[in-house]
Amino acid sequence: MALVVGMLLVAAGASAATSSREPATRPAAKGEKTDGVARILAGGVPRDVADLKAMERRFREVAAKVTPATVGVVGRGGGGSGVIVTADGYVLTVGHITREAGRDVTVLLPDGRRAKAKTLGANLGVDSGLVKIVEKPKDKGGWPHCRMGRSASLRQGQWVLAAGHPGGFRRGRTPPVRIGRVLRNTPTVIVTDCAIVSGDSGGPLYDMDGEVIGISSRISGSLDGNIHVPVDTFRRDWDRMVKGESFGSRRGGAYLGVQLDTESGGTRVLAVVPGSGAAKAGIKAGDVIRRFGGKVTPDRPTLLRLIAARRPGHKVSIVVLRGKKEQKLEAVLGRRPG
Amino acid sequence: MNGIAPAETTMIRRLAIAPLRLLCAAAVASACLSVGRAAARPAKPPRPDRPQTRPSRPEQARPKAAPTRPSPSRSEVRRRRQWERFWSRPQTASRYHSSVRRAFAPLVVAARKSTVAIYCDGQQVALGTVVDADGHVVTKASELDGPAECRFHDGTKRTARPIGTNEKNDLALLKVDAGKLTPIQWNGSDDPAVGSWVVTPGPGDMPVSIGVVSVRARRPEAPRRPLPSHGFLGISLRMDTVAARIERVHPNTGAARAGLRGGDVITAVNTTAIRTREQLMGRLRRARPGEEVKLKVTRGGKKLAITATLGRWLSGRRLNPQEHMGGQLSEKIAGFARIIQHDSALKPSQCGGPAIDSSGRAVGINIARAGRVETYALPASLVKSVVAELKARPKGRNAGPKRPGASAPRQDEGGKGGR
Repeated sequence: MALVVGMLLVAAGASAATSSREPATRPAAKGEKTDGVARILAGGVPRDVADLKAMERRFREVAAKVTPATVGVVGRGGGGSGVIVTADGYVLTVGHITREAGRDVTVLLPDGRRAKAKTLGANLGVDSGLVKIVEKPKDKGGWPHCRMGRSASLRQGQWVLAAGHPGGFRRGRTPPVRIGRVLRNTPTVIVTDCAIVSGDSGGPLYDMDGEVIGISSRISGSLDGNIHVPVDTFRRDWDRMVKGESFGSRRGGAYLGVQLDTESGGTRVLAVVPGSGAAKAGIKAGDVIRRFGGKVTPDRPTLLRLIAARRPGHKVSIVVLRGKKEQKLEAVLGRRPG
Repeated sequence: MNGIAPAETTMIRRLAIAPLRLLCAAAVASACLSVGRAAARPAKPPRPDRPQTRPSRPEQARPKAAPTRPSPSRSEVRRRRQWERFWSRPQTASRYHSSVRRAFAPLVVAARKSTVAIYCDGQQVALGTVVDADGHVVTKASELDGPAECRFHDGTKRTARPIGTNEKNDLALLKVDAGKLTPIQWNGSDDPAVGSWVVTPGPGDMPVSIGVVSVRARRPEAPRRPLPSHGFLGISLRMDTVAARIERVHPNTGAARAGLRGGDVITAVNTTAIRTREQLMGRLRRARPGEEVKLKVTRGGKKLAITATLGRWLSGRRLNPQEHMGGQLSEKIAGFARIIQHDSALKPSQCGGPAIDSSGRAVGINIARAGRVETYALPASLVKSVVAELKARPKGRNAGPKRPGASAPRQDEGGKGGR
């Protein structure tokens, strides 16, 4: 039985219902010779120095164009990167940074500006998240932004460019740019050999037209294991995320098996899933979970975060308040079904 | 959790002082878990094009003890097979593939004549750059740990004697006695735009690595929280295997005095079992200088117990464990006066040589592999001024202008960097 605690929080202060993202049309090619370099950038291999120089010209152009929109996103308890995709300040980032809607975060622009923003919804299954800058931009043209492209048409071997704030946003350091090629493209992940690392979460992956085609999410061990969220998932889930819906689950993650009372936002157990780690540990409906793994859990997001940081099979101590007494229990976390 | 790198980690970076938390992203974790558990999966041969292989998950080291789980659904099996097919497929469409690097060969034709491989004790420890026709060679100082030999593009080998060192920028000037050498051609402009190619020649005809400029030439930021010195053992680990296997023992270090040897596999540090490289590095990073550690070592099938006393090494920066998931890093990665940052994947032993641009001329000298996504080069103008300084004041240790608070490597007991 899947147990997803859907959170239909309306994002306070989020901008009006009209999502103002622009249609992603390919920008008209400039007067340059596009044939040779276009073929390479679409998935080919350079043959000679002339090809290399043509590729380099494009890399430099794209890097200059996309840097102003490559932002840091920081909130309580962590941060990463993001990219502004509309003039009125919608920012694409990852679900594991936005988590639930309505949280205050700050968007850091490479030119030194800071803008207050709010988290909107997220698709935690693919790890996409949306943020909206709530300040008005000073420039007539709005916030610096890059258009969303399309990820379905990405080809294996296609050259792409990643930017972000590895190691965290640093004043005086423009968002480092890395190039690579698409290794794998599915509806839920794009895998490239653009090296990304801690702090790059939420950072943009661009095609060589300077359009956002992915959002960096996570890495596996080697340099060819860089995983990005396809931008088409943002297109598909846009309306839900704008409304502040956080949905989807990270399949296979650690699973306790309790249904929490969403109204209070606390950690009172409404129901226990039969056969789950919670049931076997003796957690009962009405219990309030006070500590998880030794850490205090004052609210639901904290508890969910602590569970998500574990893996199936972990043994964890849980302290619950039952009536007026505290009970110490031990649970073995299962695997999230779905 | 320290030092253990899960196969899947998300990259949220905590701002608080608390240690960074790595979240396991489950959508792919299930796939990666299944890849780890597939005992029947054939071992991947190490790929020469790629600097390192994927570290395995702890489950792979213990094929039997998996906790009981419900049998996988058909879709999960399908997903598992897709991922297994993906990871075992040769990566021809990669930026690292030789078909890409080949296009750069014409650019390194001249520069390779000015590039040497530096050997100490029969192993390559760095690359070096010929800076004049008289035989002066510049390289990365902290990788040298004894008499150096320069191996040239045409196969000749020459002993190099040390002339001087600039500790701040980690440059060493050497001199070889050789006939007319070809000095590197510097680029007059050493501040290439972001996105420009950076090519690393070696003595061979193919470039060692290619990448692009990630950040323009800058004075690097001072480390936010300078790391206190941690104990160091004095070994380099092999990157082509998951286990903590020693590639090289650095002379005059705790490892050398304890009798550790290349090829040894470290399986425990005091009471901590060590199954992967990352675990060992993480564990050693927590150790203190002067600390005595009891190591369990496997050597040629035999199990040994070796006690080593750790030395002292000042690191420049506190690093997230994810920074080590992409190959070994240089020991000195901070304190340089000015750097050009690029995304080439270099090993520490591939630093010290020229970094050339698409004109074939050197914009700088590669000086450090500083993280998973970053390699630093010292700009040509900085290298030239340091070389001039060292030539004018030979046989000295030349500290160069120091910024207050800048960390520089301190060498204890004559030893040098290692883990």
